[in-house]
Amino acid sequence: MSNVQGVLLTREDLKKVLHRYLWVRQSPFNYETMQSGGWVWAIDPAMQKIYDGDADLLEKKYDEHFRFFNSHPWMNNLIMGACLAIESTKTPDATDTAVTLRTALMGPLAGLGDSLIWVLAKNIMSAIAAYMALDGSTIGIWMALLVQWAIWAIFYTGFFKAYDQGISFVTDRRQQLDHLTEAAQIVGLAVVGAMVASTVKVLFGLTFNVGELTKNLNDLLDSIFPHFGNIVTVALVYWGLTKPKMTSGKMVLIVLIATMVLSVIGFLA
Amino acid sequence: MFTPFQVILVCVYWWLFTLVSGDIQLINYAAEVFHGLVCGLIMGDVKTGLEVGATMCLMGMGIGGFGGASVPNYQFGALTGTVFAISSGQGLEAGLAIGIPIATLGTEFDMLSKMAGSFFLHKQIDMSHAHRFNEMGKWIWAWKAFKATFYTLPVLLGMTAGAGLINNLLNSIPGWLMKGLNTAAGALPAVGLAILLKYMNLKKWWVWLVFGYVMVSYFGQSMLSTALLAMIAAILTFKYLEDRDSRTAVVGAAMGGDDYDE
Repeated sequence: MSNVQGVLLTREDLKKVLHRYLWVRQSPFNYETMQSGGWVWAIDPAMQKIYDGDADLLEKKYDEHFRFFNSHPWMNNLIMGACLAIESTKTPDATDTAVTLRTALMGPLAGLGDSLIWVLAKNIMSAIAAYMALDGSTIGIWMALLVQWAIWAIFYTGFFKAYDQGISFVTDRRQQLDHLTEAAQIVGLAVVGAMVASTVKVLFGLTFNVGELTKNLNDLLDSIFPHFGNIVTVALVYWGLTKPKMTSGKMVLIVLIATMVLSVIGFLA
Repeated sequence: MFTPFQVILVCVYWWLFTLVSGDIQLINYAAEVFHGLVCGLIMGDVKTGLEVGATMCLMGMGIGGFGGASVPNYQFGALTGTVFAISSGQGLEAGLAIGIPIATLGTEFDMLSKMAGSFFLHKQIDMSHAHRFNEMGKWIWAWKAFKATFYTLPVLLGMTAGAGLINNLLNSIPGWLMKGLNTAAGALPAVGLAILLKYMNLKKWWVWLVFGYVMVSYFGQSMLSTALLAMIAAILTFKYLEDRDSRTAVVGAAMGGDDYDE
């Protein structure tokens, strides 16, 4: 940004943008452009400064920024920081470059954010919180929220770093994030394994007679393989999800109806 | 039945939460349990609130609206489920009987509010074309308020006009249906777990899945202690990966390797 014609945004300018953006990151969400509405409104103060309030020019630039955009909202902070860095150079094709970069980054970063923030960390912490809540304790909720706020804060400060370092910030951190995602698999899988045993509850209701004794199928199976019903259910659903045209929504309905029917006929307890 | 105070508190809480939560995203982890806690406090029965919230949380596990997809809204289910579980005096089963259908309807709520989003977006674009840039935000907040109201109206109606009806309905649910719902609530977390497994590198790390199962099933450990032990392994693995790749980078640089390694 040593460029003579560029306009360097101050920390205050950037704060104004981010503090506006945090409240509108997914608004007004729509099927045409998804998250781009809030984006345009948020960058307005910065763009006004960079382009000196030239309304005719800004209108054209916003038409470009209004194009389709959809990524993980927290990752959007980083993308916006990098895009504003490009706009700050005030080169003729700055907006074009910024929007192209935004489109290039949204897919990979959404994948990373969804798997790390929405799947791994969220479900591990939610499972712990739910488990403790079933025992009447609220500590798990606060633990989950503290973890969420810590990650949230990283992406808050990431906005400023992404502006300072431009595009290199996002690409440099890429490998570290990949390693983190890889290592987090260990905790994720261990928690899922623990949850198969503890949070799923599928018990067989069948009984059968051995001589004079009435035996419960579930007790018999459990003595060999604890939580056998849970393992079978998860394995069946996992297999079912590999079927083409299967969606998570359909699977929820199938499991809902199947278990209710099996419960009524007494196969499941 | 509900006191006016309870109706107002629940509706204001849900309206404000829906207004800002999708954007600011400060309460997502364990959000269902959080709603159960808040509504439990408002309704004067925290234990039932936590129970309904936690059950809804486990049922919704792994299900997320990735890429703008519309999915069941278990937070909506947790809120309404808790409120009616306590008011009907029927506890968790009543909470599920109300919460599961509402959560499922959440898909339609999400789709409709996103469809409406187009109207507000075009109003915003009009403002930009009219060079009234400062008024763009007005239409964004209008959409947010619209969405929050859209989500809160059924809660308000249910708690006022339909409260007696819903409570009577919950009290007359036959035993087999209650039992079926309970069984379903026990099995539904399996869907979320299976989805999670699809996201993870099961082929490479499956042994940790067995580890978690064994720790709980055979050693009687809690989820937290299992997670902490696994975290130690994760930190070591992370260090190893960072180490390995920085070493490769150094070697690569020394050999004058190209920049297009990755």
